[in-house]
Amino acid sequence: MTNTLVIDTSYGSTVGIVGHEPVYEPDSRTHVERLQVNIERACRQARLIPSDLDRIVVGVGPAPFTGLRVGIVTAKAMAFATGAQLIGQDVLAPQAYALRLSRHGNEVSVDGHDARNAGSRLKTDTTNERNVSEDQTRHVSLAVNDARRKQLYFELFDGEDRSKPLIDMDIDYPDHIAKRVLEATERRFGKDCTGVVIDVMGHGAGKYADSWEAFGDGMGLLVDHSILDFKAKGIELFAQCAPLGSSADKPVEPLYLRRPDVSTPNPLKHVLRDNHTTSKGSYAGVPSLDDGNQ
Amino acid sequence: MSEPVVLGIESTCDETAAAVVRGRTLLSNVVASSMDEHARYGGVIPEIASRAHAEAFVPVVSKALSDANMELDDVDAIAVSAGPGLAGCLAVGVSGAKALAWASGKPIYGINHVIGHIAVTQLQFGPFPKDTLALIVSGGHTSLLHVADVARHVDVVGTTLDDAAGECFDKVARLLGFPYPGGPHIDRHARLGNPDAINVPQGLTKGKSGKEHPYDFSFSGVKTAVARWVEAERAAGRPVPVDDVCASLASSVAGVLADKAMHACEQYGSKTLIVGGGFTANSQLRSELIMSGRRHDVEVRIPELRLCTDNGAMVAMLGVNLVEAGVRPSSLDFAIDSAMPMDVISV
Ligand SMILES: [Zn+2]
Repeated sequence: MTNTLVIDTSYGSTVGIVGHEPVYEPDSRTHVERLQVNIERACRQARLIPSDLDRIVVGVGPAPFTGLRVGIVTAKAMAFATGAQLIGQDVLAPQAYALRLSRHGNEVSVDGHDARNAGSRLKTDTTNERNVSEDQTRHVSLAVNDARRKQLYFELFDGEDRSKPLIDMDIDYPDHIAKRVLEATERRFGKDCTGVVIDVMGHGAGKYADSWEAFGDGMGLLVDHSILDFKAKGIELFAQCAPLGSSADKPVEPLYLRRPDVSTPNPLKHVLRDNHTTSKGSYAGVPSLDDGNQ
Repeated sequence: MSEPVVLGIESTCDETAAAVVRGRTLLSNVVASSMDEHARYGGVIPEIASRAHAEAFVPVVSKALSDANMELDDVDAIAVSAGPGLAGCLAVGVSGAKALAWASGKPIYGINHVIGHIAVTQLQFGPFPKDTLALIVSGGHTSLLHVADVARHVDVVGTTLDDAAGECFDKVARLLGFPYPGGPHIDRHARLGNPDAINVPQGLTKGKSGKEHPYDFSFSGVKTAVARWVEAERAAGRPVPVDDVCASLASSVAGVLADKAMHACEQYGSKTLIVGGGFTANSQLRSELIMSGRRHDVEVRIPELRLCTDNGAMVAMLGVNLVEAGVRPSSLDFAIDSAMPMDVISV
């Protein structure tokens, strides 16, 4: 049996061994203190010691900087120390995967488990109920994650065609995203888009629900959760996505999408009143670390 | 117990570093710097440094172990800088170190980076004599510390009330248009100039503030005075005598550091002054300290440069001291402290 540890810090933190309940931590500010302790707890619950781990699947974002980095460096260091296989998995593709599973109900069977369970959970957690197994309906899946600063990370998938996303992973304002989604859908399915339903899933989906009104009748499910919120089932599906979505020997690097905030200072003017950079360490009082993991 | 073997990890600013120390022997010392990436911004950009740490962490640790012909299992403990430093940078090093420690079942020590600068001198000069004083100067710190027991008891004698000495140099360097890091440029020009050409104030040396803060430093006035002087020269259309500006600045800063350090040695009955931190590369400071040491009969211990700048050896060496002293390891949930007080040795 393969012992797989999932670590994700794209929204709070979730750690767990596949087949067991994960440990969730909502506060992103405590990653440095809590993450390793939570990993220890998750392993203890599953009666595993570090050397029992065969595989570590780590969420590589897209997500805000500091928390994401903590999860990835933790996973890398643990893989180095234990020899476990390390796989990076973005957090958007699994949302589309979850939506697809929920649509197919019992058609998809996972590792001997019945995926209907995930599907029904997904449906019960939705705020916009709709019969999704209607024949002839074409689905596109908009996967999002909260990027803060009123933006979302997102990626748009054809509900059935896994080969290539309709819009590659990006960051944008929700209204712009809605517009781009409609354009991409038209490009894919033709001008009138009849029978096309847009499902939206991920953290931030609910917060920016107003923006999805642009989809009109085409609005499908609205799931204000990431796949990892679905407890043991969630981490199982997340881990399952990993070897499917990305090749196992791809380097595991964070998907920041956003560039660091920096500007080149004017040499003279900034000397007396300097805030952008820190000299090799006027450490205390550096105002902001990143884009708001605070 | 045979000599402890400690893996030390450092990520407080723009260096990702790891080293292995056995007892007092440095077995490996690997440093990856992101300095080049910061150069065009004229200072360290925390987010860029943090990204670089996350990339370099495992490769640097892995190389430090293999250079020492070891595997993680062969070390007795892991030590990591838990502060002071840039929070985003500390978060990477500390999280990675915790993961290594937990996965390998080794104890972990979250240590004070500045005390590491003191500890590392043992690799070159051996044990500390009684009542040792330490002057730690870099872009981030300017501290005068009394070392009773490096693993258990360090007291703050003095510290900068505003800018660090290296920071002051960096800012003047930027004003003069030198590329980052400016320290080496100031050093080179200072050798050619007249140190008495410009009157650069020495903070907290005179009058009431000097009496109240005999061992503290203040460099923000230095930066402002030099900036005003240069601006006035430029405004008057006169060429700025760069060599003289650098010489006067360097002489003023080195002078005040050496004077206060020697004064503190006298006060504490110390016959040894340990010096550390990246600013120790400054040649004016080195010669000023050595000369003052001779005058005051104080042995000045300035380690070779690679041990002065931020590195993993300083962290590993302090880790060895902690293991030897039987200090309890840090708990797995210890926090980083970007403004860690200087009298905290480990968390
Ligand atoms: Zn330092």
